[in-house]
Amino acid sequence: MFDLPQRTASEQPVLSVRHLSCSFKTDRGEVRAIDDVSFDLAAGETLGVVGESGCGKTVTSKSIMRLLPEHLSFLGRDSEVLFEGENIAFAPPERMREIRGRRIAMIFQEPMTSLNPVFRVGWQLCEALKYHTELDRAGRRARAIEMLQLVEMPEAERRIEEYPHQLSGGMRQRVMIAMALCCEPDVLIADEPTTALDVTIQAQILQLMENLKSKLGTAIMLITHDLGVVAQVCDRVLVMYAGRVIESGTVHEIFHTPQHPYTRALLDSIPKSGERAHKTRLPTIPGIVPSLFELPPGCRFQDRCPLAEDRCRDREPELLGELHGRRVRCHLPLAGGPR
Amino acid sequence: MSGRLKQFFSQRGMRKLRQDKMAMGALFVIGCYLILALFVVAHLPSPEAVVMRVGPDNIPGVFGTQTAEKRLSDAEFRLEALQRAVRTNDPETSLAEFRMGDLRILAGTPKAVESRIEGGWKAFEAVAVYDDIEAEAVALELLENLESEVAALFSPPTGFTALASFLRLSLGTDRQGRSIALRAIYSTKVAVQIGMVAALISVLIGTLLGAAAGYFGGWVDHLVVWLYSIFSSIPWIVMLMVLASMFRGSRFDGGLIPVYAAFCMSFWISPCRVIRGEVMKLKELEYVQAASAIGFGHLRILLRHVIPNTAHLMFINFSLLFIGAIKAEVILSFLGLGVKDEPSWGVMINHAKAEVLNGFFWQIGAATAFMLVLVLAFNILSDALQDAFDPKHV
Amino acid sequence: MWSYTARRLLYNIPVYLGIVLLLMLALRVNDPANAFLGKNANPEDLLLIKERLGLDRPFLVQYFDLLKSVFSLDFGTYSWANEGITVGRMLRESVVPSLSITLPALILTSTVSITIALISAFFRGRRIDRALMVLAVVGMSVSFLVYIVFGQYFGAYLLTRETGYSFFAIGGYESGLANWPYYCLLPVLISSLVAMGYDTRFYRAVMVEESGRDYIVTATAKGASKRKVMFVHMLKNAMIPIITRIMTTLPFLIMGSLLLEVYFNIPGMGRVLYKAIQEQDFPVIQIFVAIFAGLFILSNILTDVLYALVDPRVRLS
Repeated sequence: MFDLPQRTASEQPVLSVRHLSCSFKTDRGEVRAIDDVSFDLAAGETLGVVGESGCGKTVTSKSIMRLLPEHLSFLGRDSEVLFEGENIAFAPPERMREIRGRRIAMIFQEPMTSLNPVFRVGWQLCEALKYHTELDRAGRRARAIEMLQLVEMPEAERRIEEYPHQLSGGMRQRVMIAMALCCEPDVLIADEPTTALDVTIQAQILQLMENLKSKLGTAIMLITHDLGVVAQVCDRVLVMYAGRVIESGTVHEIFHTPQHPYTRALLDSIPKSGERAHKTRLPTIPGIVPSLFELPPGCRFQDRCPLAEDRCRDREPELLGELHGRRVRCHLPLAGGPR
Repeated sequence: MSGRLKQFFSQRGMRKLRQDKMAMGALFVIGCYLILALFVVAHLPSPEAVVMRVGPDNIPGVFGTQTAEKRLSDAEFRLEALQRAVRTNDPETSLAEFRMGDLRILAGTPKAVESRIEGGWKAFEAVAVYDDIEAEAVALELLENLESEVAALFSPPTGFTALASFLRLSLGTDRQGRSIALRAIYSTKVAVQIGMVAALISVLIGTLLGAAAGYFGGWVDHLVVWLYSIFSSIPWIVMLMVLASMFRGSRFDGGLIPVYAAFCMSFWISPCRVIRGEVMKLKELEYVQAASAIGFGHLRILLRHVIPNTAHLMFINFSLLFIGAIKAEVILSFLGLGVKDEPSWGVMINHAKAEVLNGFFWQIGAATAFMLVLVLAFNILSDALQDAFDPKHV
Repeated sequence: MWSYTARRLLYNIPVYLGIVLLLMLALRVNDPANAFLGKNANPEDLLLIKERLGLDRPFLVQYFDLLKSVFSLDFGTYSWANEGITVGRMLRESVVPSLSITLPALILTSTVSITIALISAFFRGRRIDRALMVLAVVGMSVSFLVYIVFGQYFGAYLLTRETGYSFFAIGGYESGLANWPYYCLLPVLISSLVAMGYDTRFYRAVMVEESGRDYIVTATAKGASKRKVMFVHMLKNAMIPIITRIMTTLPFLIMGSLLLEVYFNIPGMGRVLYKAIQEQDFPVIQIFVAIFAGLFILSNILTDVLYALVDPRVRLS
């Protein structure tokens, strides 16, 4: 393991993750779902985390919030989740409760199931306020309505009396966002917030998140497998594959000079409008993500990599580069990355 | 496609099941009970041995203790039995044919035997004068003396017979002096029989009706739902009592047929419900749609493609209904509606009611233990089956 | 809400008509009058007894007659075995003893098993959870009858012998609240103990399933404590299947209390029916079974309505 550069206090990021790893207990033994994930999230920044399904994006976000089931999962011993300098990876439950919802909030993929079906929308909105603020009943209600108006929910006053099943998917996701933002958290983790929605609604929700970010100055960690979304809203990107970070950099760097063959393949598989788009077959990545139970020695992408050599099969490459600049985990980076 | 899907289910489920040590243990236990039931069917132990008197009533099992008074009356019982054998018209044969379990009378002329019995009675009277035998050491000594004299009247079994005799008395005797161990073992047959027949028929009926309802929908579905709503609205115990009165006087009266009928009438409902739901889901799957698009007949699709994919549910339901039948049999025996001419755990527990008030637990204990192990094994198996094949089930 | 209730009622009417039809047919397979009087009955007596119950009328007439008496709750027919006593009176006299066992047993079983299930689900995967679940499986593998036999021995017999004070009756029944603990508490305790194993496991499974849902994660992410998540978010959702379960056990409790009533000599509905069947008391059997089935269906409807009350998705659709 290499030393990560220490930052000075003035530019300390709001959230720093170091060597985060998380294992699950399964019928077939323990399996490490994410391994040695490190990154920083600066205040006001939007970080995109991309990768195919099953690559560990959601586990990363839930590990940060410590939302994984306790009896089935555990964090690696040297994992660090530094929130404003405090390591919360092993903080006691009481401390986590103060942070969750108040300092770090989260939006989930499935707006259909993420809201409690038997409580009114208003009650669920007020719940976080009840835990984290001194507001009285009327104050909480007023704040809930205010938040719903902020997320552009029509007829907010009527909606808070309704149950989740009476709302459409887009409206539910707006409720989720309002719920996450009502205590003005420093960090918002959005786990595929638009995946389950219609395309038109997707655009609205993304626009909404953009607006709110500029209004409230919240740092956002946006988890998605949709590179289009990343290009639209993110400042920096973290690419994950089979539980590992394989590349990171600014949106510009990743989209224009991808260094990992996997990133490259991901970008190639986006349909582009314009020349010859309809004439050529869209390239796909052959094969599937290796099972975490049967990881090959060496690079985890070797079986699907067009450039793989012998050393890729023998030794896993390290993640080279600066934590805040480019990083890539490859023996043969494209476009002259760090070797 | 159907075959492949089936394979996928069976492979994943079976592998998970095979890795489950508890489930494998449970299967082993169930296997042992099945073998035991087969032995009973092959008349080992024989039906005669099960009703034979092997000693005084309510003697405890090997690790049990009994009061001095009970020991005295047991000695008295043995002496009386011998005396009855001697005082027949033909003492020679009756002595030679005398059996108390595996005990025979020590060889000798009737005269010699009679005089020895006389000696036994004297020893008996010496003890009987004490009101409270346990309180006085002398009395206890005399009691032991009496017991050894009585024992000396019999020729102890040897070799294999000794082992058999030990096992036979290992759990004591019931109120008629019959071996509890043998009866408990024999009852395995009735339990397995009732469980097998009731669960099998119920699962078959339930599967066929449920699959038809789920697959065809429409009026078939309405009819089946109406039917199971009706049958599930009558508690099975009430249904059974009605059936018993229905069969009264007919040639099925007292047999197992009304029992089976009552069990099946209420047991088919739960597999039917579950499989109807599953088939409704399966019907929407591509391969079933494809099969019907190709033009396969409904019957063929149902039998070849739909029902085989509900096999795991059939197994789970079979296992659960087996438990239901065994437990229900006990309740029936208590109500006097169950098995009549053979021993069963229900009959044993029912007979043991009165013994318990006298502090004699061997019969109820043995029946409960035999039943507990089998039902527990089936419970564990059901859980494991559910885990392996139907993990989302509550 | 009201239209929902009405729809449930309407749906169950054909079911009930079917039950009564089936029941009446089953009871007429053997001529009831013959069965009651025995083989050597006087033909005049037979005719008399048939006439008194109208068994000589066409089946359909009898069918509507029974339906009418059930729906108007008017059971004026006389019992055969108990001269001069109407079935209605037997019913009235047996309802209270039955309820004084069934209701407390239902409440006790439900509260205790839901509490145990909550503890188990709260400490999921820990030693206490596993111990409780092993206990539950073993508990549900023992026969009802064994619980009754041992319950009576230890509770009524041994306890009295050892303490010299009779806490519980060996059997029997007397009305009045003051007599309730003496006659009914022991059967209630036994009945709860029997149901506990299965119920606890079921409730725990429901809770575990609910604990795995997305909204639980959402609530935790909002900063709710584990206790809040379990007791507020999870429990209210789990109440939906729990209520269904409690209601569906109701008829089984009636059945279970039949055993207890017979064993402890409590003159409840179960015991009346049991005796009627032994004595071939046809009018009593017919009406009591029809009532049992009716109660079952009513409890089904009640389940659906309660279900709707807890689940806004059903209520508002």
